[in-house]
Amino acid sequence: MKELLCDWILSCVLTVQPVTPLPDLYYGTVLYDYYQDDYQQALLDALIVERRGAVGNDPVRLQLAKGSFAFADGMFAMAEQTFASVGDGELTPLDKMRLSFHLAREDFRRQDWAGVERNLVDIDLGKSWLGHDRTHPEVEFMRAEVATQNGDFAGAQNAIARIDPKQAFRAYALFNLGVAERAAGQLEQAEQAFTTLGSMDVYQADALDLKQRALVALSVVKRQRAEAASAESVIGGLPAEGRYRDLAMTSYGGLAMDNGDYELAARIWLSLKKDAYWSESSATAQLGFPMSLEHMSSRELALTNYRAAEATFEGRLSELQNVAARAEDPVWVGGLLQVFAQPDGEDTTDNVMNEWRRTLGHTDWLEWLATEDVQELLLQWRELRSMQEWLKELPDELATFDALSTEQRRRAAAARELIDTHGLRERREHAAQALADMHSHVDAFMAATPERTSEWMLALANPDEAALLNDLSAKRALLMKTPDDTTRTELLARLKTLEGIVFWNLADDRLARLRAVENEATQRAEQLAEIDAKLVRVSRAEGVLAAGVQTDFLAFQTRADAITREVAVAIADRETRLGNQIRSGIHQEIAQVERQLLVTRIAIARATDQLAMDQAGGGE
Amino acid sequence: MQRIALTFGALLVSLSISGAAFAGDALDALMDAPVDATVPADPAAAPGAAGNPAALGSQMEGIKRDLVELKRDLVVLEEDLLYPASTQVAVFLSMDVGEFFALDSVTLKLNGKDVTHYLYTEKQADALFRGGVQRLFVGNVKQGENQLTAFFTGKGPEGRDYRRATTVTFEKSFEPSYVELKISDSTAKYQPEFVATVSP
Repeated sequence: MKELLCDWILSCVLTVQPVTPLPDLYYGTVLYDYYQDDYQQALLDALIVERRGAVGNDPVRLQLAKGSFAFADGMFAMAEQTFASVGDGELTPLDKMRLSFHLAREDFRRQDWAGVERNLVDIDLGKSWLGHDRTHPEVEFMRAEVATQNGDFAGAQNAIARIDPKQAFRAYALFNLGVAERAAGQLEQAEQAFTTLGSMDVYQADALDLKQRALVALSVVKRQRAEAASAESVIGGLPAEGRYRDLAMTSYGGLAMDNGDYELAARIWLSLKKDAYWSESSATAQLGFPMSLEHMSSRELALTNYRAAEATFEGRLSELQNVAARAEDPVWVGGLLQVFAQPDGEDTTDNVMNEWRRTLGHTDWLEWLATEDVQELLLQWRELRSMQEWLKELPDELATFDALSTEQRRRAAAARELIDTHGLRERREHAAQALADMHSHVDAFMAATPERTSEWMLALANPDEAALLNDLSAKRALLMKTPDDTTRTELLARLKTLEGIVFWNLADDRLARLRAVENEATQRAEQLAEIDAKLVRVSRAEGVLAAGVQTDFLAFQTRADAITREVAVAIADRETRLGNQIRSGIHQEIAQVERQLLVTRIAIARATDQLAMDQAGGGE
Repeated sequence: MQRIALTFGALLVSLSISGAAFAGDALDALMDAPVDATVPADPAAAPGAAGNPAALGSQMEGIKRDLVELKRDLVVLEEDLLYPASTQVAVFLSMDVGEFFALDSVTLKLNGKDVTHYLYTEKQADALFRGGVQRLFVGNVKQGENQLTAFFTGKGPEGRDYRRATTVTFEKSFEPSYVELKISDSTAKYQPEFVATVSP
């Protein structure tokens, strides 16, 4: 079934693309939970994917998966709404089959057999490359069930034949077919169905349980068909231990009595009587044993054992009445239910069970809670308790998130302050402008012809050269004031020569110097780019942090509080109902024991009379 | 004598009830209703002793739905708070076929530091084999260049112990980064392959 589920009930991510698209990865994570039978987590993950908008180009597959997970987790209304939301127009033929499958499951749950049949018609998996019909075990199971319900037992058998023998579905379908055939009076066919199931190799715990159940059922059918010896043989083949051990032994004892083998019957009843716990079978054995003895013509021994049975029933009745009185106390009932609050497989469960065994002297209350609807109540109660535990932790978690969010906002404010108060942006803009100016000057100098002017030379001169040029310029101004023309002319010529040397040095070195300036400008531009990137990062981080996670924590807690209240009410309701069930179970058992006690007392009276008559007859 | 006969008759009636109980009728309870292999029967169809199961089921579903939606919002909130997009990196593990490699464990090193070590149960490895994808790690990294190394341990071809590593270097941007670790089969080499890809 698993492989087939992968094949077509859910589309698997088996792409060979080098980079898997993110929606496919998310869908794969949902399947990862599903394949581990963690339906709640799978549903949660599907809802998260949906909320994040990571559905991708194939929204139908996620919808179908979501509906399927909701269905598996018992959220039938959600499943129905999800499937209903899938538009026909968006479906591929394979998706249509998938949807029909899910709808058929929902109809099956409602026991709407016409609906199941209608949806199953749409499912045709075609043929394998070998030309064999491709089948799906659950689909064939549903087909078999529909046929069984319609009284088409041959059709059911055909569908069952298409279910892989390794699948538990086959065991279920066979058992249900046998039950229906027996109900329809077709005992031979029912026997055949139970025989097939009883001889099947099974691979799952539930299938093994069904197999044993089928064997017990087979013995009943055989007995109905007056095949007592054969029935006895079937029952004798059941394992000595197991869920149906007591029932099988009771049946075995009854069959032995039917066959007139009272010695065997007595041995069976004796064996059942020795059980350390009370059950319907052991109660039956209390009566069956002296009945068998009576047929073995040991009337006195029978009478003694009837009296022993009477004492046992009286003791049991007293015990039950005592328990019934205590069961009026809700605290007592609550304590009893603690057994179910323990995690599966924990030692503490055994400890609590042992404590109740010690207190009550028996564990029949487990039987009182064993009906299917009460089981459902218990499961709900347990799930609600687990929700309650989770909700209890939530305020602390929310407080942590709130603190984290506050801290992020504080950091955002600090970043904003860094940007605004310290004028980082303005300073950066200023530097950028200076750099741009530098570039434009370099460009201008590159383009311009060298000129022996102060502007040109000073722009290119290093600090020493600039000082020299300024000094020469000052000296020239001073010389202009000298009255001696000869001296002025001579010194001005020397100044000109010196300026010329500087000019020619500058003109000669012009390109190298401009390149150096250009390099410096490039480095500064790189530094500026880094500063820009940092500014962007800080700004974006500030934006993200300032915006924070748009959550009103108070509203979140309010939602959680509302759910907590609902859960508490539901738990109290389940506990009341379970308490009623326990009390009802006690009273039903009291009534049953009272009936058994009455029958025992009648038997004692009869056996006493019979013994008296025998003695009177012997005396005469 | 008449009294005895009457008593005996009453007993026979009573015993016939008891006899039937251990001879068959109690066993019939086994076959009272067909067994459903997959889904619970519609509770509305047969109200039981425990009250109105349909109403209880509906109440239960309402609570579960509210709770799962609350959990969804909480997970989204948690991720948004703890792993902002600008620093978030998520590592996914997938398996394509996987005939040549039975996965035991994966160790992840991010920028030289161990960030996760995961041991797989048979069920988890099977879920991967069937097409499931595990979100192995979610965390934060600095912007710029980062290096992720994954060490895979398990059984290789012919059941031999197998340990391989794959490394990927990626540039963290403002968007969330995703790394997919994929175990696939090289049919040409009869060996498993371990590939890491980064997106975006």
